[in-house]
Amino acid sequence: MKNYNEMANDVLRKIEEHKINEKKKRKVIKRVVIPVCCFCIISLIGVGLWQGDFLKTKPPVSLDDSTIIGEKDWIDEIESEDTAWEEDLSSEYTVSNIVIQSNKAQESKFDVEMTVNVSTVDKNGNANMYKTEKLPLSAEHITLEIINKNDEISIVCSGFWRLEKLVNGKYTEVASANREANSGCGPNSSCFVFFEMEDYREAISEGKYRIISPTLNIAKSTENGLVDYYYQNEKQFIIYKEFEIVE
Amino acid sequence: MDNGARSYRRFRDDGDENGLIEIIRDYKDGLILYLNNFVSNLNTAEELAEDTFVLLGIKKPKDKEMGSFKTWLYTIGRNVAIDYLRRNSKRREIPLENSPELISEELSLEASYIKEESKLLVQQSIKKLKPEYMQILWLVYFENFSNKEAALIMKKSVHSIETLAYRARKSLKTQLEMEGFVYEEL
Repeated sequence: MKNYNEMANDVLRKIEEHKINEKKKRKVIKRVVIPVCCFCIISLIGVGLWQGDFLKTKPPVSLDDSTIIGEKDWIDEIESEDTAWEEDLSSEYTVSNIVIQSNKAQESKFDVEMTVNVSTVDKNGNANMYKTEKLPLSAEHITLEIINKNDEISIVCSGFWRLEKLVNGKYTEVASANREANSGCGPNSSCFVFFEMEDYREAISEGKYRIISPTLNIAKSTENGLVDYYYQNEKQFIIYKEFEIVE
Repeated sequence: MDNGARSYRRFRDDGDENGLIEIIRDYKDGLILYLNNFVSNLNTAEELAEDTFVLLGIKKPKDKEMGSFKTWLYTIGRNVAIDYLRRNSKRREIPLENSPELISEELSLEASYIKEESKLLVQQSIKKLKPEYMQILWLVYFENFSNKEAALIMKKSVHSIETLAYRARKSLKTQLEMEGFVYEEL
């Protein structure tokens, strides 16, 4: 049997030993846990970057003198490889158009396929509409949202305010053309005076974007550049947005 | 008298080791004898008492102030003993009860702690009772705990303790009579 002094000594010694062991344990835990945590965090970040395609960079091919602000003014290299785009670039002038097509204007949402129309332009700046090719601009589809509020239609194209403005303007023109057609102008009449070639040329010379076709279908261009519109379906429209490309 | 609470607070709050030494000095023997009722081995009881004090020193638990410090200490001791019995329930130990050295140590410890000769005689008879009776009689008869305090230590209701104490006394009476003592005289 121990006396109380011996027992007290033993108790205090055990308490000290326990404290030392605890410190050792804490050190071991720190030594193991910190590297493991760092490894986990780095792994998570790595996986996140890998899955998020952050490591894939696409160098943009810039188009000189692109005057579209805030809009996609480059195309992926792969997409332009086997197209007439390169040929057109080697020609004297090239005009490219972004064409937006839809057959469902009245629906609340619809997809718009974005294509580039490539055609040569003569020395006077007139586009040769006969030699137009449509090239896909990108694989992505832009969603336009049609908001119909009190019969006033506005079109929202998130992230492409220029396009949005363009489409809204086009819609107004189509509506206006429809109104005129309904009030007496025949489908084949030339009531769309503001789309005559003079206006078109002026727009080109001023370097503005110009919608040359408010058509309800694809326009037939005559040799002198005048547009003869052919009415087919009021819900169809094509928008030509143009920009000039210097050599 | 603060029953060691002040010493414990001195140790817990100020880190004064003397506080713990005082507690060991005051409660060691009683706790060993109480825990001996669980394990029936004085050496093991001594180790368990030591473990109880070590636990007190490591964890430094806060006194719940349900009863006196002594009540609380005995409750911790009881838990330590129950843990020990649970851990060793599958392990068979060779009983050392017959070891003459151990018996003499136990007797001397009892003699020094109990002091009254009559109580010493009773203690010898108590050892032949059931462990639960041994525990309740030790707490109430030798440590002078009230029924309420004994209930706290043994984690039973006061009513259960009263019943248990009654039965234990009855059993003790029978045991003493068998050994030729007169219960009322003790």
